[in-house]
Amino acid sequence: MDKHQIKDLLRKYAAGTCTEQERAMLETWYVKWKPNDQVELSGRLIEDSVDKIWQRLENSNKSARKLWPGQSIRMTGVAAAILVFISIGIGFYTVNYKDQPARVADKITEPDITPGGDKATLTLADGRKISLTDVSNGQIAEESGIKITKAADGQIVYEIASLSPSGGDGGGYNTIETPLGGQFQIKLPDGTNVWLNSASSLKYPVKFSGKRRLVELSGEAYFEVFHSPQVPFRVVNANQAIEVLGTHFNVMSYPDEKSVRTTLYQGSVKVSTINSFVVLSPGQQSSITSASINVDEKPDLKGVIAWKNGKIEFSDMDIESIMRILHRWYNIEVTYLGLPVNNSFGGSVSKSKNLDEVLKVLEATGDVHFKVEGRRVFVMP
Amino acid sequence: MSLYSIYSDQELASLLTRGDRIAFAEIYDRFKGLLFVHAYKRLNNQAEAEDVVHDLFSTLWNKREELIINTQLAGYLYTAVRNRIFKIIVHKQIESKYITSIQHSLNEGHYITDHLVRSNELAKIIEKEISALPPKMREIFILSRQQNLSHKEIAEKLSLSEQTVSKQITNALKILRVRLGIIAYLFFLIKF
Repeated sequence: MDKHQIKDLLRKYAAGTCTEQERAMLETWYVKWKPNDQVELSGRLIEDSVDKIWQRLENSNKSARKLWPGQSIRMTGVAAAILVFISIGIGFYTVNYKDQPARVADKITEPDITPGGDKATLTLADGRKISLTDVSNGQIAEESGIKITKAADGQIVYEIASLSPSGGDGGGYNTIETPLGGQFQIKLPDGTNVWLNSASSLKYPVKFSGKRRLVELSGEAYFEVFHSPQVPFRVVNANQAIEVLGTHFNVMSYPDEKSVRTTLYQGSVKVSTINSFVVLSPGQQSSITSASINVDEKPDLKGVIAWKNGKIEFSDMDIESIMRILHRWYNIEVTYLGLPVNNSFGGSVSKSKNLDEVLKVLEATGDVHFKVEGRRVFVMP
Repeated sequence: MSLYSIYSDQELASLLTRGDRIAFAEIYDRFKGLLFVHAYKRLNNQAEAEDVVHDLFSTLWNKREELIINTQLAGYLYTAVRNRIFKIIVHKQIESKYITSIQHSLNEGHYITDHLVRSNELAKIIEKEISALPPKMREIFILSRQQNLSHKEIAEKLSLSEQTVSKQITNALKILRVRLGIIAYLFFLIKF
């Protein structure tokens, strides 16, 4: 058998179309195969990797949860028990509220649902958590000789205060996380600007060192990467890795969306999955689903980054996608009642408006109606 | 000691199909080291090995409800990691050492026809790689293989008092009972 036939055979194996004999042959090779044992493997490397994988799993599951929203996977027994009671609460809550939700139009007693704002939590390399909403301006914390301050305009600024004592991996990782109804803008230690949308998190080294600038994203962010051709900037999340030298692009990787979408505004990026990649030109958008990478030549460039420019904007969008955006910005729960709403909607609203104004805009089409009870919004045809 | 370390692989698998995230975390803790080491030794590439293990567990969680683990949980995970390593090899250069090695093996023409024998061989290889694990991970895995230890023995191994171990186990069972009760309750709500 020549090497091309071997490759064909491997392809058939991956596709699950091998005969029983072919499978047996390949799997026998696998168990007899003695890979090079000189591979260096330290306990530290194993621990780092499995922790990183867990983090990725946790991030991608965060908003996929149905029964127990908001808890961390590693619950203690007590937390699990408390959660049980909360679940009971939610159960009753849902049942009671089904009976008599009020309409948006004639709601009188309900307080307005106000929009989100600049809110985030910074977790330092040593595990300390700092709420960036409440912290006053000035110095926040000093670690590895790096001064982190919050400037008057809300931006986090990094300053290298003194030379770092050790080279190494540059002092650990910080994580900045926005809640539902939060957003934040930061400047990374290398000068890269990042706008973080709601319910998103970005993990990045306190100090960039080595051959790559590596950050981990979950949720959505807009990057203006500081140009540094020798040190590529890499954004990874559960499904893809993006490698750039210096460009402007938006990444939308919410776990509850069907695909991970990367939209390029300037420069050039390489988007890779486990088994393929594309190189985007400005104005293009890649979408990655579990099956494939697709490139859209004419995405709605303005709509994609409307969130960063203080707007909620949608064109030709289904109601579920719109409600997911509202869920993230207004921290509401959404329930669908009656027949599905099949129409597509288009529109633009300022993010500083209260929720009921946004809902009125949608209701004006006559194709969809809402009822609001507490933080729960019912969607009906 | 994690609350769920007293459960066998099979019990964890069954809890997982019901959406239990702590069971998922326990399965991960049990197998993460072994599966990663195995993938790393074969791919000799940290990022690829991480992707393999991540993809495997991500699928395990997302497909938990359809999960039919008809063999052992370990066997399921081992074959799943092997299948993903094959998927990565598919995309290797035609001149890579992988393709050359497969070519030699296939041209020799000997192979194991019984898939159960192949699965057992695979399990043996993977569990032999336990020596490469950091001590704590090794301990968690080995303990999970000794389901019939008495509370006293578990306590000795983990340097906890026997009382603590018994208490933890009682608590775990209590919580499980309550939680299963709630799941039934929620099903009831959804159905009626």
